[in-house]
Amino acid sequence: MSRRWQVLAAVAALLIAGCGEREVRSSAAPVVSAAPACPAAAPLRVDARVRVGPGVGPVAVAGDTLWTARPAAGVLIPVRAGARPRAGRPVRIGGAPVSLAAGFGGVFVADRDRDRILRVDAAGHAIVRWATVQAPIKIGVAGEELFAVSLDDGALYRLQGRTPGAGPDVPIPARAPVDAVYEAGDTWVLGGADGGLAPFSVRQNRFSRTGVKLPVRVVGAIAAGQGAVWAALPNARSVARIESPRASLSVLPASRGFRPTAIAVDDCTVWVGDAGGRVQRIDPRTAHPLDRPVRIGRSLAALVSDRGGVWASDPVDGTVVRVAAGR
Amino acid sequence: MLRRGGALSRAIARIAPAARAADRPALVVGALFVVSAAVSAYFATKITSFQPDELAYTHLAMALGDHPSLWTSAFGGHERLNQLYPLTLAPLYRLFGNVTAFELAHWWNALVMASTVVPVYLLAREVLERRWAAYLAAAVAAVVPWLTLSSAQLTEVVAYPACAWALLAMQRALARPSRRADLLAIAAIAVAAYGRLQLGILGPAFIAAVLVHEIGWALTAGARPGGRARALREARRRLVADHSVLVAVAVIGLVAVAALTAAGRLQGAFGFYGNTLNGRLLPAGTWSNAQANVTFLAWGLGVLPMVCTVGLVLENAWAPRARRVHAFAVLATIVFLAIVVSVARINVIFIDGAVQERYVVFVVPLLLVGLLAGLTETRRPAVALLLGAAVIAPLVATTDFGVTPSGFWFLVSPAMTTFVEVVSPRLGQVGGALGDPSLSRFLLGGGAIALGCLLVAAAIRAGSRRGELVVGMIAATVFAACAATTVYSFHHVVYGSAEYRGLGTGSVAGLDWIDRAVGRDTPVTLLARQAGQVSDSRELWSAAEFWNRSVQTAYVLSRPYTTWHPGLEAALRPGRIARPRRARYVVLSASGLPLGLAGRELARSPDGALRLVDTAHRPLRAAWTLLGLSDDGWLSLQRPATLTIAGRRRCHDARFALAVPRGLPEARRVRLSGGGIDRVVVVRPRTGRAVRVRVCGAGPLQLTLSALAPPVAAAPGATVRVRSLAVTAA
Repeated sequence: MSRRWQVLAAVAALLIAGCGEREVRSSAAPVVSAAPACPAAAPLRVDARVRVGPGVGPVAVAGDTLWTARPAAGVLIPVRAGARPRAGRPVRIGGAPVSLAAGFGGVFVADRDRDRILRVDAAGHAIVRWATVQAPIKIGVAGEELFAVSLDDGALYRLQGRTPGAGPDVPIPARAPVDAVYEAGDTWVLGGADGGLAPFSVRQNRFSRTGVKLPVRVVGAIAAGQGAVWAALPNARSVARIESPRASLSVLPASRGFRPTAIAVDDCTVWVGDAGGRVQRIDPRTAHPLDRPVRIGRSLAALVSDRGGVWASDPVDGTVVRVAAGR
Repeated sequence: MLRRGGALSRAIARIAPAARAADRPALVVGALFVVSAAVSAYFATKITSFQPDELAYTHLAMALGDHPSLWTSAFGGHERLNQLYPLTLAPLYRLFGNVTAFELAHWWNALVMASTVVPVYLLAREVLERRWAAYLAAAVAAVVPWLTLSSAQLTEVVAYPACAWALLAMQRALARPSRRADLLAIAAIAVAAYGRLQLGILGPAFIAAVLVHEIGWALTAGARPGGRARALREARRRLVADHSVLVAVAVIGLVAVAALTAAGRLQGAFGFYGNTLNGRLLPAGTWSNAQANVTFLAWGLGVLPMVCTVGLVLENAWAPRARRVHAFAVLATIVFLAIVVSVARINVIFIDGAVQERYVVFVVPLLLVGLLAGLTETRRPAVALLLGAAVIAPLVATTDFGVTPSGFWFLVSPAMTTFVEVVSPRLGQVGGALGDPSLSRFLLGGGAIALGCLLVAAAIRAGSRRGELVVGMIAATVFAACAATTVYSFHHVVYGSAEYRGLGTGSVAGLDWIDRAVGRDTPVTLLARQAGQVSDSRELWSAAEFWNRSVQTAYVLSRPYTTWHPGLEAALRPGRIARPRRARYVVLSASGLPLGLAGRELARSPDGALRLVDTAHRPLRAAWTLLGLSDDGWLSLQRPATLTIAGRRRCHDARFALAVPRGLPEARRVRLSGGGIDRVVVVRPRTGRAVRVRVCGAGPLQLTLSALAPPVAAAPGATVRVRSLAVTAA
């Protein structure tokens, strides 16, 4: 190769090498946090139990307050989480609050029956109609904004956390959407009829990638964390992990006799719960139990992680229960 | 080349007389036209579904067919000023029913799209010295992936060749300026803009190209014979004398724009696209969208046309070789930038930054001619190629865009979708071999382009004495890449894949069931509920409107309305219809939700989802109503739904089909009460439930359905959905 050719090749190579990369994707291996702040292994125990009323379902943590709701009664209940957690004054909103999301200085409520998204301030005083969405079944925080999923429309709506109103409907490529979570730039929507998980790119404002079809249709709940989307599969007695960037699926069997219906993920661990009222920590890589399950009551509807522990709602006993590791 | 002897030379020598005999442009270009039309028609005529925009354009065609003119304001025509394509379809929709016209329109599309080879050849002849090179450009034009656009009745079908003719006229006016050439160019631009309004940008682009070319030529090559000052004087003379028509039209255009702006009517003059004139000139995301458009255009054409065109432009920027080539380089640069950037801006404003190549396909003729010009009209083709690669490879490498392939995306963006479905996985394998399978596919693509261009440049250098053969081989490679992408894309448009449905997998038989039942000219009213999720419902109702021109009005029972006709608000009350009061022929959902309409059923849609009812001119009357459900039939958690049955009969049988999402872990329960009934039924996720109850009582009968909240529920908001209801007198 002549000298001139060598120079040209070098220039081209330099240009290409120097152009940078915007779409660098994470490694194929599961991203499992080994955060130094994780507490040392200790057996699980019930840390706190607060009576809020029968039929309690969704839970969300906003600062030092746990918000929960009783969909059939149309009320929200704040639980001040301190050394001795206790229920605050219920906030009556009417309708059917089936999903809660904490953020932007308040808590957002999906009122399923009255086709609306509400915002309740942190003190529980000011209730604002934030958007109109047909039969909203899920509200969540997606980075700097919110999303709502309409069961009736089969559509996703984007909302701002600071100003009321919803964007135009984005049809969801899944049947009967019932749940959604946000992870690493994508809002993953679960189709209740087909077991499909479709990723909506917040930046590109569309379902820009092919989703994942779960191997079984029956899904208890989904959660996000540690770079992945997690699904509790009660009938398959397992947990599914979908690596968010590449949408690669792993199905991890749960421990014997445990049928995960609820799931929560924090920086250190993955929490699963079953409908019978048990909570367990599992290894994010293998789903092997890290300790014996702890019973929180007679039932379990939802989990949310909070400062190294987890809150669980027990609709039969009408309580919310905090579980944490400790002696 | 022939002097070197050998088998190849002997073979060429043998076919040379035949080739000379066949060297007739009409014959060669005609053959290319036939090939292109055949490829397009083979696939396009298999299409059995339509895109939402087709509703508008076919209705415009019907209006133009019924009342022949160049423009109609019917069916939102005042919002869509580009009516050339509907005008060409008007005779078909005048003479035939919608289904037959649809089928004929796809044959027409294939012919129109294929006709682009003619202006591409002529444009190439304007720029290239050698005729065989122009043949090569036309050959690639015959198989470009965007032939997939012939699968839909969209304005691009006619705007694409119209734009190619306009580019030809502009090139002629630039290279051989005269008043007549300017007039022709302006007329061609007007026709192209009538085909698609966005092509109005060719007007300012043409003016800019004339200025840049005349001044640029004077400052570079034109300056050599007699000095720069003399060349500039000559340029000024040409601008004033030869381009006087263009100057006059530009002044008139400026005055018109100023007047419209002063009157506040500029936006309205652009109809549907008027709001693109507002807002920031380059909103955030414009650049990355333009970059993605360039990247996919490059891939769709096998990269080299883009690289060679850029190389040609760069060389002509400082050392032009011939006036016609310089004119072309200027035209290509300005038109390319104008179209890509304006489209990127509109993409960001209108469609959330999606990349639809159909909006930028108009630059393809420039890139095809640029390929051959870069290889045959540059001083050092290898250097020009590497210069182009130095621009394009980093552009591709830093692109970031994703899409989920579907039949629609293959239709409007065949290059992007083929990249995502075919090229990207291969690049992923390369990344895996390099040790990181998650490496950006675009980065790897940019690297591959750089490497490939180095190899091609080396081949050009090595084969400099067989230049024509090398150019032919490069063009053949591009041809093969384009043809493969085209066939692959078309195949996926028509047949889809395991993941998505093709647009030709259905059947058009019987889709004009309403027209057949009542006649094309009989007005029919839709009484439309949301049937399924919003997207499904849009598909269902717009199909009735697309295939049946008798559908002229739509009353809607839900929001957002999912009909194409503007939804008039219908009003249901328990047991009756408050609005509309009268309509003889009514189409409504066959599910029986949320009402049963009294009247005689005339027909059902082929899929059984819709029914046509003759109300015999009587006021509309509901045999039953089921109110209190969500638009798609979901029960509320707390409020019951109420079935009200009108009529004098004492007992009625009500048959419900109930369902819950199959993925829920638990069953749901529903209580039915009233009319002598109090019953709780369990609806399981896997099986759903068919429930039959006999409701008896005096006067209007009422039955309530209440969802019972389960003690523990995943997705507590997912209740029971009433899929269908039928009520009959017992």
